[in-house]
Amino acid sequence: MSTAAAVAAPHQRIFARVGRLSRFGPVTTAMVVVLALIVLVAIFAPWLAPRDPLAVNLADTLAPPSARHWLGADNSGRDLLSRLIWGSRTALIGPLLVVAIAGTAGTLIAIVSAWLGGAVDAVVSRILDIIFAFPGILLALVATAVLGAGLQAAIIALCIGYIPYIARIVRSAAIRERDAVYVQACRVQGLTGAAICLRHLLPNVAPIVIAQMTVSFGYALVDLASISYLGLGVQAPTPDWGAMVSAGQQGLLRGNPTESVCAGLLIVLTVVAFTVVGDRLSDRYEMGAAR
Amino acid sequence: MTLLRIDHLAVSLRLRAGDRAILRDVTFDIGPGEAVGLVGESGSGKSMTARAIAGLLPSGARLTGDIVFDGASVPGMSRAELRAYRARDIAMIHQDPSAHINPVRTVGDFLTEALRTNSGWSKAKAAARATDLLGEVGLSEPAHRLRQYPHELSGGMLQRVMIAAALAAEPRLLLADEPTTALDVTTQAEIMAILGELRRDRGLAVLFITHDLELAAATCDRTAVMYAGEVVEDQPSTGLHAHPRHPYTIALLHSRPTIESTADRLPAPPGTPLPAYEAPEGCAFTARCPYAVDQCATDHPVLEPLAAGPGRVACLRAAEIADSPEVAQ
Amino acid sequence: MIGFLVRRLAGLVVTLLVTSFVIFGALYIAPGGPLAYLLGGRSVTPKVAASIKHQYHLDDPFLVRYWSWLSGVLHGDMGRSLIFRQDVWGLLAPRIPTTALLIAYASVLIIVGGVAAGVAGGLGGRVVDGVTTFVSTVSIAVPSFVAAILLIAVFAIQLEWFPVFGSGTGFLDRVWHLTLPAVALAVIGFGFVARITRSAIREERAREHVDTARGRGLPERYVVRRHVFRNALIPITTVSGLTVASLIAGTVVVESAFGLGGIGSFLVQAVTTKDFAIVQDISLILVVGFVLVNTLVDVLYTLIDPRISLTRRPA
Repeated sequence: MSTAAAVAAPHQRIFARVGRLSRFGPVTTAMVVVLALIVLVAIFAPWLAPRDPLAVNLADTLAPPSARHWLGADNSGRDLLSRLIWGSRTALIGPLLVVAIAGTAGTLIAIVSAWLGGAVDAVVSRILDIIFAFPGILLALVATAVLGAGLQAAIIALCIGYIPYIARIVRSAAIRERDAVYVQACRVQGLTGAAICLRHLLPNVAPIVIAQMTVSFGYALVDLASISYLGLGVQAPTPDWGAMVSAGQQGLLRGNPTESVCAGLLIVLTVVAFTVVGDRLSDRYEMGAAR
Repeated sequence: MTLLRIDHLAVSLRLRAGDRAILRDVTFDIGPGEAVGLVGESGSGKSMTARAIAGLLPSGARLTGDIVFDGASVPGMSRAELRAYRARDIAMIHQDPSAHINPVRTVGDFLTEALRTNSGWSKAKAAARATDLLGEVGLSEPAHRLRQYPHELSGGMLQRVMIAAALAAEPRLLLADEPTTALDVTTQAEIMAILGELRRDRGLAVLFITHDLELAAATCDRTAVMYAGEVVEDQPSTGLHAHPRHPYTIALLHSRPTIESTADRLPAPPGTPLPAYEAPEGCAFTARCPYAVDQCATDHPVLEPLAAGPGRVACLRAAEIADSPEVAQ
Repeated sequence: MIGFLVRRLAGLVVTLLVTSFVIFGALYIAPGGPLAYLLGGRSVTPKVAASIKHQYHLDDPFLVRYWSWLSGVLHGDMGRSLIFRQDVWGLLAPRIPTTALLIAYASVLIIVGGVAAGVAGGLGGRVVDGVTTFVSTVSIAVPSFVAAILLIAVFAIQLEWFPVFGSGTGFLDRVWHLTLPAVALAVIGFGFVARITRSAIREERAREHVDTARGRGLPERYVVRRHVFRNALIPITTVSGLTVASLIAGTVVVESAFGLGGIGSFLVQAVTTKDFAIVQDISLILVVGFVLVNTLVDVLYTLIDPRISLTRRPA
């Protein structure tokens, strides 16, 4: 093997790559900070929320902002700020499950399919095409029809529905890596297919998987919030941003848009942060691949 | 009488990190119907020189010095003048024709669009002219080619299309930027033959950019050698080949394998070529030069006429080297 | 060309068969199911349950029921709603125009608005480009129901320019009623199309063949139109098509948010009441629409990009 540089497994550069993430532009840095804040709020919700998000107090129904309720109260007199803080938990946990499960399954399917090629690859691609024919929200709706309303059904549906989005991108990246010189060198050295996939293909497609999972997180959040908005996801009285947008419509029509608007803007902010960071990650990967 | 005069041309790009010099001092000229070779390693600024002549510098580029075509300063042209100059006076062909021809339009579109847009020709008249031109550059079935897409043609065929398109407007100067580098040797020879023939038939001046000093010397009247964004030597091709004066030119000529002597290893110039923006205060070739003296690192040589015969060289020790090329430090 | 279309159509038919099977199968295995609804909580003897099952053909084998459903749908008989005690087609037919109009309206907004914004960003200076990028990045992250409540808050309640709810009667009244819903539905797609258009134009402008065209003295306008736009059209068409396809499922949310009587909100209603005949039929309609538009985009794509050979499936 003549070119040592091409044979050395490039995944050793991953650590260098992670180190370089600190050199994000100002917008991306801001969005990373936003993400960190949202995650921290979700983790420390019990300590951060000023009041019990479930405590009903009809005397405070649709109360305007005050010292008692910083953002006012909802239809049942529950503290809005506390509900928004607790809502970050339901907002994040669903998409987290979806991208973790769909990401793992999609990556495995894609790598195995890319590595084996031939008939396996053809059949897998066909199945992915068929799953792709179901828009995520429709799958989630049908799932709630089958399994009953609740976040569980929607999450199961989206786990399946998001597999093609991950698998398609990973598959083409894995095929590119599979044909790379260093993989051929591994074969020449007599490594087994499983070892090459695990030790070389997987680490090298990892950045694109992470980037795609980050972007998908935002979309999964939108899909799950939509299901909750339609009343088929998170059920009252559990605080959830999507359900709050829906519940707040009552107040909106009576001239008090706080609940709907705050919950809606939080969704937008979170999704913007995830897509900006995800896009930036995949840009970096593309640049890395082009180099 | 000169057709194109390039006078102390310097170009720098404005980057976030500050200005970055691409060309530092380019001076040479081309007479009507003359073929001039511009030779240098990659990154020496040959292509940027061609782009500057065509007025195609990237946005944010800063230009000093002058480019004068038939009495008119190219950097000083208005948009309309520049367009007229590009449409009528010059044409350009490139190393990679497949990137320089729009892949989603037919060969016919590519050949006729300038005639139809700039000269207002009818579709039929332009198509007839395009067919003739394709025949002239030696493409078979020219009428059928017009309906094909670029990806259906080979690299050599596309380069002929490119040449035909360049000739369509009857330019006075052809800028040929490494037109044969990407082609195999046979095709390369054919393309060079076509270019030579067209030049003789039409009295076309050619600026032939290449990294191949021998090829330039064999096909051009005069050859200019570039290093790190500067023209360091400029001589009639025969003179350059027989009596190279600049140490860089000498090194380039020695690094060519010859049929007579089989060397174990080709004597390539030591070190790596320098980009213009890293050029030191003195002569940019100092670090790689076997003739370099202390003064070379500090004093910047300028192009001076040769003592004997036509031509110019930018080297402090040019006179000594001319007397005895074997002098080393 | 014909071979290509035949292969495409065959693939389409296979996809639709499988998806219809999945839709029907998913609801078939649902616990509870139609029988539970028909019984309405009453407990009956197994014999009565069996006779009810028989009456509604619920005791037929799965494949028989799938086939009778599918062949019925193909003949325009979409089955009966157990809740409305009415033919499903009779329930859907009056709702389809609202949904179709909504999708068409939003598609126009997305394509016209998105391409215009993307062109501005692609050709404009730093400020214009920055604004376009900001707007498109944010709008991609605005779920249609959030857009809906923001639009209602501003344009329906504050300014009172548009009605809050309802689909309206007569064409113009409908368009007026559908304006806010169409905007809400279009927001995400607008962002996508604007983004892709912008980057496609930036990318094409930097291509060498565009330089060649400039170097030949062609007028800038001509270069932009014939070379930059023409080539950027390929990714723009693809993304626009995919975006329009995704609107079909998006109507579910937007129709519910604005209380529009289309098939999208009807699906949500049917899911809530477990009216499976309607869920199956509407799901099938939405998937068919989605797959059809996707196939159409695929075909269109091969037509406008001469580099793609029609004899092979594009990779």
